[in-house]
Amino acid sequence: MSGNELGLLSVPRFELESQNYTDADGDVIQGEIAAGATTILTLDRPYQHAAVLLKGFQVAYHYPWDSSYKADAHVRELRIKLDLDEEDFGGHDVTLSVRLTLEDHQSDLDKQSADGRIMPIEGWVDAVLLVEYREPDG
Amino acid sequence: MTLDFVETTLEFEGQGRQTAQNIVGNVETSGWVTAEAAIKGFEAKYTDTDHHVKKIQASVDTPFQAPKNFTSGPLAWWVKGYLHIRDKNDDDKFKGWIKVQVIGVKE
Repeated sequence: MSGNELGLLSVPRFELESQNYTDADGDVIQGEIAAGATTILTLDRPYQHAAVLLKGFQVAYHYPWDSSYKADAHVRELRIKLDLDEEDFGGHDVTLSVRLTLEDHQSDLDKQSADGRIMPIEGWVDAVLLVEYREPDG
Repeated sequence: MTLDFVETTLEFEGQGRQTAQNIVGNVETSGWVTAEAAIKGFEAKYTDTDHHVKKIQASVDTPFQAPKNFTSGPLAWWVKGYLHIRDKNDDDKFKGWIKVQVIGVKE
């Protein structure tokens, strides 16, 4: 950083839910293992650089077809990814995207058991934004 | 505005959502007007054997000012965090930690 003024900004919570696929009767038959969202924050003045920091997250399997039976599952991978669009740097807008993934072995379609179905997920992600403002013109 | 960086580790052990908090700064001497916190890393694991997972949570609040012993005495900057890993019954003990990066903001 070059000594310009800094700002530390809270980001509105990302509420996330992966997509469900339903059959003709409207019953959920399959879900996505990942959920993502993008938001654009508009700052009151232009900035030069920014960094996004993870403040917290929650992720849960969401088993809509039989919540009384199997609301939990194995975990093979948990992944959280926060990104900024660097093409915005220099302007007022900050484009921030998040992707949350929770998967078990059934996420491999060729390893699914006969009744295996990929469970959708739900959760949230909190983040903090650190920005270096641009020097005022003139 | 200038920034101070303080690192702390919150430790957790129990069953159900666990809370932990540490002092990260002295209100009188730090000169902080506000502070933020972010997660540098975390671990959450069942203490006996493996179990399924229904939900995982790791999070920290924005640091706050409170007395050192929470009833009286000099104010301190505290950071508070939450850790939870559970299966569908939420009846298994777990332990873990969150490594927290606290950023103190000075005018």
